[in-house]
Amino acid sequence: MTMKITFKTNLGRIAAKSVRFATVFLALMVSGMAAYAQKAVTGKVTDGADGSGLPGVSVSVKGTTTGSVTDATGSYKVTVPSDDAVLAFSFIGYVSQEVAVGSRSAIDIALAADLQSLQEVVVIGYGEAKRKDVTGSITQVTAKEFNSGVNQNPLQSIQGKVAGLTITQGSGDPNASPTVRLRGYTSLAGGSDPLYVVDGVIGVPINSISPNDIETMDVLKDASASAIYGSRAANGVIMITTKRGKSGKPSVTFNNYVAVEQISNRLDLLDGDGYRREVGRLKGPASLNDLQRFPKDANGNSYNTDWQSEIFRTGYSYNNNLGISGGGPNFNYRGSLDFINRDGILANTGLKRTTGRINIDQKALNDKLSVQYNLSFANTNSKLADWGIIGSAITFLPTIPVRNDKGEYAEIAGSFDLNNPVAMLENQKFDEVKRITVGGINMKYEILNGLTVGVNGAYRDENNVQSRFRDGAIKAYQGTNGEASRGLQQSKDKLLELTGSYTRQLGSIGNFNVLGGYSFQEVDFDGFGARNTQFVTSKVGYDNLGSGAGSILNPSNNYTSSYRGQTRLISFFSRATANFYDKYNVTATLRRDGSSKFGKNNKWGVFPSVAAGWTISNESFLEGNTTLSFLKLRVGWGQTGNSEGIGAYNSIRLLGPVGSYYDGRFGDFLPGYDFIQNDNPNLKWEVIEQTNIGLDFQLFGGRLNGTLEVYNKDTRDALYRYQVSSNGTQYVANNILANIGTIRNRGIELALGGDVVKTDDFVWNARLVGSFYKNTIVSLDGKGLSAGEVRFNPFGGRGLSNVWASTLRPGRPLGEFYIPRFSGFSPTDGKVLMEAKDGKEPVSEYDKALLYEAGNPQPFLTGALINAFRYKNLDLSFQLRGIFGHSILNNLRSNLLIPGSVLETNMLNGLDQLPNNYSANQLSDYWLEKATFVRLDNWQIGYQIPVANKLVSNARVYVGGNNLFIITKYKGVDPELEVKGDLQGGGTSQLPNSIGLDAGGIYPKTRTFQLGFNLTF
Amino acid sequence: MYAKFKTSAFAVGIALALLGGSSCTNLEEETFNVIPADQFGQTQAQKDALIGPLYGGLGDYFDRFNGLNAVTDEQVVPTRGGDWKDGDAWRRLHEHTWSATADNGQFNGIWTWIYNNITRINRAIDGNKGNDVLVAELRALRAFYHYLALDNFGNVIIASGSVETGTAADQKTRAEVYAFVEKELLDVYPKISKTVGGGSYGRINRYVVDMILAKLYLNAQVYTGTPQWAKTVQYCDSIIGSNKYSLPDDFLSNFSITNQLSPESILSTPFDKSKRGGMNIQMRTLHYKSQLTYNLPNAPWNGYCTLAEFYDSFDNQDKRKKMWLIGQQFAADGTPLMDDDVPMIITKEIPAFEMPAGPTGRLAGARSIKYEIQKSSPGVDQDNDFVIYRLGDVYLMRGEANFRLNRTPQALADINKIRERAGVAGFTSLTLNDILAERGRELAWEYHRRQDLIRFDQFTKAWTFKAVSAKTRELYPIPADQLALNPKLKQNPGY
Repeated sequence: MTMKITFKTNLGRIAAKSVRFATVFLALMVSGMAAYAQKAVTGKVTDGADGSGLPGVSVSVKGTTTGSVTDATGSYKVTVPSDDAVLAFSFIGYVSQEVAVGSRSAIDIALAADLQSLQEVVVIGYGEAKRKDVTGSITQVTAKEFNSGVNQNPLQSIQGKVAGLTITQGSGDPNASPTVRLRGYTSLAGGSDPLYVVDGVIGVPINSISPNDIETMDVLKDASASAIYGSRAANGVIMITTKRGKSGKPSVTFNNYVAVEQISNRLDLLDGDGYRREVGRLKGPASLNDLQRFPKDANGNSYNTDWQSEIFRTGYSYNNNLGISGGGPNFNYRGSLDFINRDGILANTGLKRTTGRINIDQKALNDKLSVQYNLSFANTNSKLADWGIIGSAITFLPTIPVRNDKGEYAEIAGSFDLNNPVAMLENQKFDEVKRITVGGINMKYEILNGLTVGVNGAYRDENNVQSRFRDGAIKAYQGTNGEASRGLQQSKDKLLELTGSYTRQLGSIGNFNVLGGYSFQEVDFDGFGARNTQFVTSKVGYDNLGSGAGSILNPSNNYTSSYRGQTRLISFFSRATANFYDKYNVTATLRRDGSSKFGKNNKWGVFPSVAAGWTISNESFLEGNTTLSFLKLRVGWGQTGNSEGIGAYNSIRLLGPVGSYYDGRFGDFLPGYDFIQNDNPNLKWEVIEQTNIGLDFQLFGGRLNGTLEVYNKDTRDALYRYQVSSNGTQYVANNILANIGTIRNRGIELALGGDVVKTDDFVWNARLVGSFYKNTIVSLDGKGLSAGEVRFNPFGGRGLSNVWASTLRPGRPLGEFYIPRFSGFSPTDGKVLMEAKDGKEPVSEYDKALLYEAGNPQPFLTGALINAFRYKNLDLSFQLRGIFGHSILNNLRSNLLIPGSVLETNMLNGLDQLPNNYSANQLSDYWLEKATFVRLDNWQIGYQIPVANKLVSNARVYVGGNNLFIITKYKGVDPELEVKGDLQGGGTSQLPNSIGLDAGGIYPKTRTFQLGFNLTF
Repeated sequence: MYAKFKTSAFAVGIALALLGGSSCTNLEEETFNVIPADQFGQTQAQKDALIGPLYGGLGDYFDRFNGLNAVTDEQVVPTRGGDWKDGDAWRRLHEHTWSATADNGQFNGIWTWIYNNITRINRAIDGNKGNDVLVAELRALRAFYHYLALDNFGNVIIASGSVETGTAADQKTRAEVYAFVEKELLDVYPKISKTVGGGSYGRINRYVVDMILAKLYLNAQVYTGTPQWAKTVQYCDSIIGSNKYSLPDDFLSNFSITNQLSPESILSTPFDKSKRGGMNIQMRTLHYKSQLTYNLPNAPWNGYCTLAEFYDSFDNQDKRKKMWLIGQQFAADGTPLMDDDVPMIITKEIPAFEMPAGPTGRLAGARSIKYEIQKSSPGVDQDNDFVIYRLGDVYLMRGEANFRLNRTPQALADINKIRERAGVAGFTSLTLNDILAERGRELAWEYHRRQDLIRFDQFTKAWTFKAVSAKTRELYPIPADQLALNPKLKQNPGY
């Protein structure tokens, strides 16, 4: 632990020094400039495409060290020694230009966007690289390309933009995070989320960052790009670079939008009259005499309640973002404050998030020392949704009023599963407060020409308090006895990394770089929880747990809990890159990771990668080819690890408290202890071996550019929580987390884009992104362990316990539906008939039915078409995103179209399409639907207000929105479901999460309309 | 230049300090909330806390067998509309058409429960060497689990020895396992405590061992081909002769929410609505709307019931018939309940195994309230302890064994003692069928029925919802999961 103290103290001293040096060097520089001043040149640098000022453009006098940077409006001022001077303008993403000054003292210049983007710098692990030299598969999305719309989570900002990166927002719940899967499903229990690296800090929760603060997001897709992150890189790495200050006069940006959000699609449920009609038709008019289901008001009128309308509302959102940045040649800063308020469309749900960020850059010691300071804070107050309420609003009868004559919530007493959703909504509090603070400092010092050492330190402190109260007076919560609970979870993450890097120019041959480093990361986590039941008043809710009677009347050891743990990851890494003749690029990386979580026989893992690139277009036989202006072939191979699914202490044999036992000596129950975990000294990371072949090309001078990639990704030593032989001697607990299986993902990705039309006034830029892939569970069993028959995707409903739609089967894709084929309804009793195993007469018994591979919940193709138009000051952008070829088992619909059971729940319109005596739901492909869809994800129309004002440099207003329409044949609410593809409980369960199963009770997706403006001062 | 040197030296210094620090390559796990297995079990309190759960595990006996009892003629779980269809699992159980794969969960549940408990006992035996009394008790408990394994699966594993010392898990024949259980129980017999109640409640004592032996011998013909009726009588005598147990007048008091007080209980698993949940038979059997009769916080699940012919095997004056719930149901305040638009009248008749949705199907079949329903219990769990063995069974076992030894007068005495308590006239003559029927009435839903039917060769016969089944169905299949995990296991014949 002494190390931590040393580290902090040293950082503090360095920081203090830097400030001192900065002051001295600033003074020197200013005086130096004054001494040589001979002629001042001013001007404005604009974007050749839209004429807007370009801030941050480097303006240098060629052959000297003199230079300047444009301010927020694009204006610059630079001093040149003579009229012979040549000014060089350069800016990332634009074609550099050189202009002879001559006699002019004012030079305005328009920079053309560098569509080739080859000079663009992409972020790689522990460094940056020029796009043209990159050998791995890296996709960069810059802030300019972010999705428009209401996106509080940065992932929503890049949804659809990166081929192979599937971002799924399975619901409209503002507090639900999207699921991110890169290039298929690689793991069941090893972890499935990518690694997030924010300004060099590993493992920052992405939902704590405002998209407004992000400059670029770089997605490292293949192993050769991500292997530098070793045992955590298998699901890809998303590098986030936040905006930083630029030299020049202070710039203030203020962005604001307001938005309204509504349910995008509702179930076509029966209304009160429709329900009475169907009950009368199917069960006889006498059924309507049941006053519990069909009550009447004092005047004898029936009720008609639309429960969906009762619980859903129009949600209002707004976002304010203020950023202030500026700086000088050696010192830049940017501070920002962002507040988003988003009401969910389910009443009493929503979130309020405040984020603050300060980024400071300091250069000192002749620019040899550069220091980045980052400090960010986020506070999120959430009102969480109880999805059960949505389920109740679907099934509760429309013939029941919200409240009865006595003003009490109307309920159907003694009903097994019908509960008044409004009562549920109004009688629970479900809140969460999340706080996160991340501080980091990143120093680089150039000891000798080309030799740089770096220190990167970061500290993350996160805590999360969840509180919930449900009033036991409400029928739905009787079973909980009016439970109130609070729980605190917190974690502290310390990261220290040391790097050394040496770059050498080899004349005209090329250059090379070697990097070496050490990384230490320690995470401490702990928390506690308390609960109580049986409150005599609902007034205190969860704010006074001691006032509940439950812990006295029904004593138990589950009223309080706490936990604590620690994990440590230690790594050594290195990378060598070499670039020759602008044609050949070679990269090799090696990382050695040691984790405290791994078994004692496998504490350390080695993760290598190699990759090479060949710029074919620079070979003489293609040089000067005007059609094919750029062509580069990249081949990479590497091994990465996947270990986030392994928790602390998973490898050691553990005892723990297990329930209670009766001790007759005391006449009471005492807590017992028992084995709760088998030891596995061989427990280790999953190995993902990936080969990637990519082709980057540009046609017609960069007018059209694209990338085609093919990959093969094999997961070996895949983790699963295996059953163990239960034989009375060998194992102490029921299962063991072990590395046995093999999973394969193969795919092709294509990204194609360019300016379809380009004139001075009108530009149409289009981009097409597509990804094909195929997932196969190659094997699960081995080494004496068997997963058994893992059945999942429970086809739910009444009388459907233990009915599963999918089985993990070697050689087949994850989640594939393996179900009977529907052959008709029995004309006599309305039962579902299915194709029989013996191939003879159709059968109505599930176990006699033939199961077949009915469909895959995984799509074969995902794609997006992104369009941006500009006409003078008007701009329009929209993104169409489609998912093709996947199937969904419409479990919800199957439970809402059972004529024989019409009295059990409300039903959908269309009951007359089914036999009247069909009364028991049965799993078959009758409910399987193709779920291909194309959605207009987001759109925006903006107007750049021409400002002739010294104060305001940029002003834009826009309208836009999300999810304007969807084209699909799918009959459910929405064909885009959450698709996790891993085990439940983050790998703690043996059961995979459902995939492609529309089970209902899903927080519906929303349609958003947005009005906003951007201002820069 | 000086500054440059100083700073670079500084950076190198930091690097060296950090790399040199021992914590920087140390990957040992520091534990906080978990207990590594080698750091527990030293103190007496810790040892006690490890022994207790061995019996806590026995508490899952009810959970393991309540659903499986549907293979008998005393319990059926018909399909009521869509409810309880559950992929036809209940139909397969009742029709004896279960499969090793489709019903793996059922069978593997019992298998893993048995053998995981045996593992724990083996560990505890290792950890308590020298404590002869405790080791004897643990060996008896281990023998009991082996007895359950041989009764249900026949050809199973004999597991003695711990994780550290255990040997390969070979499959043994049913007769070999029978011999092991018998030898173990006889070995430890003299060392087992004769204390009844108090600290022994819910644990193995001498009379529990007698009971296991009596059961083993009662079914010896099934297990080994050689009957052991005299030995059955011998161990029943030991229990009855001890005079430590008696038959309370109130038959149903054996199953009340305070049934730990019953003088009849030989082995029970203690339950508590909050401290040790799991007794939830009322949820499984009662109608949804019985929630209003008993003021329950949750609507019950309306599943298990009995066949009309089994219900009819009780005479009307038989006090034990009160275990069945039938007829018009009332809310707690006495108002008659309705199911949809018809009066809520539970019928003994079950029109069909698979019934259309509606009140007829929902109300079909008599429900068991043998275990007293705990009114206003806060959750789904009740306080009744589950009774595995009780004295009433001992009289019936001794009666049966004596009858099979042609000692009819002795048999009549024992069996009529049970009938007397039930308020029905004593038998004057006996047949095997009389004995089986009496056992049915006395022990319904106590999960002895499968074993009894097999012993009387009635398990595979046809009844209302079941055709004749194959003899091989008298053993459950070795669970598919276990076959996959242990190549030494072979499947039972007929699967």
